[in-house]
Amino acid sequence: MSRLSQIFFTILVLWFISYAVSNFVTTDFRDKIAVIPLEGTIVGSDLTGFVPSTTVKSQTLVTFIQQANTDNSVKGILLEINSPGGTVVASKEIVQAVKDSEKPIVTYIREIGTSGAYWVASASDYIVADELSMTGSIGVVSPFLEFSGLMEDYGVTYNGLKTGKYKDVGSPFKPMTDEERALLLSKMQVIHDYFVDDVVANRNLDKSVVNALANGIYYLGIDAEKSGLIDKTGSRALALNKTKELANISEATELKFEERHYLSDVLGKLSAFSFYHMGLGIGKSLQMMSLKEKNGPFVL
Amino acid sequence: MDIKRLLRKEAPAPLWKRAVAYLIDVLVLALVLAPLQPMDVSYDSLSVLVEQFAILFSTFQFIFSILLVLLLSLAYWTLLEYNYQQTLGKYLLHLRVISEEKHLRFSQCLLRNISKLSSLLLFADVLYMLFSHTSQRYSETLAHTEVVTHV
Repeated sequence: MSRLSQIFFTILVLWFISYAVSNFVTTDFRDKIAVIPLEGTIVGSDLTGFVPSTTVKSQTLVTFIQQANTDNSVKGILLEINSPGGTVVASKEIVQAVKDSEKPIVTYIREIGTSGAYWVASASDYIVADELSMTGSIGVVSPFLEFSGLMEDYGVTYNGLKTGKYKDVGSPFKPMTDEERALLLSKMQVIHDYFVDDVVANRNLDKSVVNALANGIYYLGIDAEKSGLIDKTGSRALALNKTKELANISEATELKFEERHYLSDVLGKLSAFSFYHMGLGIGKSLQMMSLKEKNGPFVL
Repeated sequence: MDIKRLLRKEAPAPLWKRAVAYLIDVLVLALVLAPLQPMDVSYDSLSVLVEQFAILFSTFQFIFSILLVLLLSLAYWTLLEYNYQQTLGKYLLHLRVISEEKHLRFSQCLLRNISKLSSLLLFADVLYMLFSHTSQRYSETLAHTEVVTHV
């Protein structure tokens, strides 16, 4: 081995030592509370691509909860919810992750924690919500658009070739029959019952109470506390203190779990911002032209 | 000593060569120590950054990382000079560390590089060299070592 190779080898060994101990050095061993945000609509997968979205992928949340559980320095988890809910399976995946957590999870509902997001919250050990936050809204919704009347106006006919009787159920190009409506509602009822049963079990409430509350309406924090949908109304600080209490620690630092943003996200936001202002500009120009034509006063 | 050196076709290394070699070594060392960068934080504002620095300073990890940086830096200079009489920078500039005694000992290499752990000490050491007729840093004088180049 030449002298240069030997020198390089020594440098490589030193680098390896440096790399090997770096994980230890950059690790903060103090007790921590993992802060996991659940913001936006819960979805199974984000298909919006470059366009920035206000959705949260269930898998991201599940991974965060699992990571917090495997981190020995994390003693408890604070789930910060600001979400109107989302798709059924995606919500259920997060619910399961919350249930599987070996570390105590306290939920703090800030602005809104309804439907699927409330389902997630119900699975946690303790729920704190702002007095004026929106929560509850236990129910299932499945909106269907129907264009058949519009198509008829334009002389467009729908030919639904299908091999199964209900294969095109919910198609926007034909009116929904009573039978189809009943069929879809029965499936939704199954989901609704599952949701209610889970809330009953999670919150240790009487089924009749939850059934009465599960009418789809949201409840303000103060009402939700009275009905038992949440444990206490209060601030984030209260939720954090409760997390520490359940984790049996007095002092802890916060470890925020956040999705990393890459260049594509930045470009996405930039393009959305540009297009928004482009549209705004065009709209204003058209407005001005229209008003000028009328020779009337106008404001920008 | 001078006759021996002449016979080996060696002369004290010029200052510019030593400076360039040192810069190369500092760059290499920066790469070696890069994984130990103790700050792995994301911050939204200066106040958060300052707060995180304050937390960092109070931790055992920070002290440990500083000690490790010092140790690895010292290991870089000392091990390479003891084993090969050259660091990468000195190799590229054709410089060599020699002992004024019979053999170059580990303790000599350690002593001559101690000042590199502190920029203030190194500054004083280099300042001594500028006014010394032997072109040696003070720590080199203490360690009975010299940096030479081929003539």
